[in-house]
Amino acid sequence: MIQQSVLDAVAITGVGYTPISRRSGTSVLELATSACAGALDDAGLPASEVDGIATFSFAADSVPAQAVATDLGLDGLSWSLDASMGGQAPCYLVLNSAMAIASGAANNVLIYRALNGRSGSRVGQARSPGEAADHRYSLGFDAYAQFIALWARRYLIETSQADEELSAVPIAQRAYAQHNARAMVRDPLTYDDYLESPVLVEPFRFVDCTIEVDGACAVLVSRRNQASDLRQLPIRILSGGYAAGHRSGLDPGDSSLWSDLSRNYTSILAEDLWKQAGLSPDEVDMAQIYDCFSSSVAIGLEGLRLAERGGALEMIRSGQTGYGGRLPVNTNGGLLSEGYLHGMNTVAEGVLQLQGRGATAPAQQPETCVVTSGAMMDGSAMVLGRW
Amino acid sequence: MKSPRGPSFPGEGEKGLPLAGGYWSQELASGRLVVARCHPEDHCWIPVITRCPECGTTDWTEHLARGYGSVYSWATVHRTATPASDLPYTIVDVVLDEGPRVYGRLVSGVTPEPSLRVVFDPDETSRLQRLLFRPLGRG
Repeated sequence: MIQQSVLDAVAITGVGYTPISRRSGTSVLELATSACAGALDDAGLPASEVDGIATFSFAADSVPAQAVATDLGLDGLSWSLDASMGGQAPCYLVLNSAMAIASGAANNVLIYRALNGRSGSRVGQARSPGEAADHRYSLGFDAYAQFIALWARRYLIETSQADEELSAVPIAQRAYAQHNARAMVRDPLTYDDYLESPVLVEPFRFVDCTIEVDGACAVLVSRRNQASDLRQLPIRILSGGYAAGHRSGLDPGDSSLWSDLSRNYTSILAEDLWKQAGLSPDEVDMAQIYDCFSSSVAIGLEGLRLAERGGALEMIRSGQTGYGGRLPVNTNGGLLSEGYLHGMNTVAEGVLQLQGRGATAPAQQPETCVVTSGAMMDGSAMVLGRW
Repeated sequence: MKSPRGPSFPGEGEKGLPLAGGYWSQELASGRLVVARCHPEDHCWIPVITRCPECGTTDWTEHLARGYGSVYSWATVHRTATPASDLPYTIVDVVLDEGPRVYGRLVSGVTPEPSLRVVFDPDETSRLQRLLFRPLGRG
């Protein structure tokens, strides 16, 4: 976990999005710069005040921080971070930016994820270097939907649930997506619709999987004493951390050394995350859970103790994570509906909801929101709140 | 043998270095499934990892796995990004009796189930260059 004094030194002050599409018709650089400029406009911060940029890419599918600094016409950077990571990264990069600011290395840090993930290099098939990946691909085991299907299968075995019970997640999240103008899919989804969705890799149907897209999303993290001068309600990081569990594998798709595929990194982070935030799991108002696939939401909710072991899907099915529910979850329709900006949009939605301007408007304005990044052996999470 | 890549491996280069591709490509070509066992604690793993992942020791030797295991999880693939002629096929995550888990293919026509007992098929693995498991007790 990151020390409280570090987290207290910063606030999240702005959010930027490009349009999300299947074909952007433009460069990844333009997407990245546009989302970053959007976050600055949102905050009302001049670009000249930015001195740090952090980003992540997977299998070299994006542009580096220096490119965006150049494209934005910045004087320069005193801090940058180009992480070669996947969905574990968004909360992790926000926390690293907080560390950079608290240490004096930077004052205003832009964090972005930009990709032509649909029309260009497809994320779901991106290949990690190394021998473990070589072996998987020799088997025809070569896509993230397949890697995470092993987790979903083991989760269903351990919790004695049928494949179709996963339907709770896409059905509930689509109910939000219907009201999210950014979402790639906005049609209602019924259980019958779910059963008609083709099977991609058991137990996943197409609607259990995120939608690869072109687009970018950025958030701005600022030194706290500057944040009050900006346009939006500053958002506080109550707690946050990254964890890679024991034997986390040789690459992001290698879970062969992970002892329990029905539990992910959220189980490791949960206790400290709640303790530092000063909340118990039943006190948090909202959750944005990284959802590259439907099962990841169940494993994440249970790992964070927001649901009982084996109880997350029933909790979702019963409406407790919907508009009027006790814990709204993935209020933009999630990566399953809004599109796969690799979880940067999961963080952004958490921030926007706390500011009262989320993609959708659940019955209760949240005061606190937990956000996760990642679905497997390692990942990061934060509890966010209003000051 | 102390070295992770001892001189007895078939197909090795003259200097005893592993061929390009390393552990897995050698296993698939040779139809042998080798596991590592550490001397201090008897931990067992797939020696694509160079030190014991439990205790970090470099004091370990290689052993031929018996090839028996149980299905821990699986993924039955119905659609692929690039055309495949053998759909649907099942990837199995197998716990070897020696302890480590490995990914392989389940022979076609078999319905996977939890804890299904399987055995490594060395001939087909070598021929197909693809780690293949079949259910125990079936030809």
